[in-house]
Amino acid sequence: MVKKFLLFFLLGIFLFFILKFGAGDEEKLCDRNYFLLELKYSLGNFELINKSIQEGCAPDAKGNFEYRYSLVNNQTIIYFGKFNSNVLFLDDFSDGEMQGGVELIEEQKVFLIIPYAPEADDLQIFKQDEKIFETKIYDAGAISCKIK
Amino acid sequence: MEYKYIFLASFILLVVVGIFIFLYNPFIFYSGKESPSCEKIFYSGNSDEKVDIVFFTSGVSRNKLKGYIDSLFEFEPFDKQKNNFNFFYLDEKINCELKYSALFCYSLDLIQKSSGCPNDFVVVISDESGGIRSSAYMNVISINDKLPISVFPHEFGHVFANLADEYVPAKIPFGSKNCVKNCEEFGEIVGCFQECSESNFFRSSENSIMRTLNSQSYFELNQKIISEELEKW
Repeated sequence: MVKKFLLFFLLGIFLFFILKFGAGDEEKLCDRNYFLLELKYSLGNFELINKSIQEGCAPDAKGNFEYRYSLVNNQTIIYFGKFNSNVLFLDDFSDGEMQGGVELIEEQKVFLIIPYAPEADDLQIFKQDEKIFETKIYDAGAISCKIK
Repeated sequence: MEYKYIFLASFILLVVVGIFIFLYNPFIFYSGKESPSCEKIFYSGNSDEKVDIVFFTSGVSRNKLKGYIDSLFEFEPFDKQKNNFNFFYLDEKINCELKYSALFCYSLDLIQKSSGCPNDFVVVISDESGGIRSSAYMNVISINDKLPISVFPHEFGHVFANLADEYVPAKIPFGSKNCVKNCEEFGEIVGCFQECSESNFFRSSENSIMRTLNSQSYFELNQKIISEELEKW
């Protein structure tokens, strides 16, 4: 009888751990880091304002847009994303008709959120296939014990 | 003796229920908290493999969000892709501005707050006066709740699939595929109508959601473009 209760007890602990840690994986989804690049976009050019490493979730940027960024390690692309920093869609619906259209942005602060990759050296931005911006990324933020 | 069997049966039931909860994690409405203010409102699985949309509200009840989610899922092809989406809610105060008479919530503050949840796309629903436009910039949609709820599928068409406006006047963003110069470019798609952002461009359907918020569909070409984008996720 004691052996059976012991068996039930162990199975109970097993069940507890499945529920606690198995189903709870998603709870830690944003327990990660990302590169935050603050850029000034001006008429097709980018200028770096600040770069840092922050804690949280980074978006995937998989759309088909004009600008592309690449995280590069030793000339190998390890991550990339696409964005439109010059297009602002505006929409209103008055009297049953849509209006607003698109404004082409000439100047705007743009924030690139990129999953943190410790091996990344550079961040490059391309307009279609032309490289228009590049910055060292390994020195972003205060977490920098890496010897280059 | 009977107690033994009752005890054993209860335990087996507990194990079965536990395994069911563990395995049937995907595709349930979920109201648990992930971080102090990040709430899962429609959850279908691992964020690395899903399209994650995070909502903020300003002066708008959180209860209205279900209506916005449902409005997107009323449209093909999203109606058959519900299990590729996660929706979250962040209970944070957001400061928006007006830009070109439109609500514009894109800011460093918003971007940093969004990182508290999986956030491929960020949507702010705000209580504004009539006449203030909604907007879409980068991966951020700013919605005036006075506009019809179908403004969400319209704006999502912009940020997700780079769909151009099909009304005029507007401008065609680089890479947009739904407005073309010649009807032949539609290929097998039946339908060609003048005016698509610009008066000398053509669209493939008379009244898609990218032309009017009264529409119930993206129509064939836009559905195909969206489906191609969905395959990337």
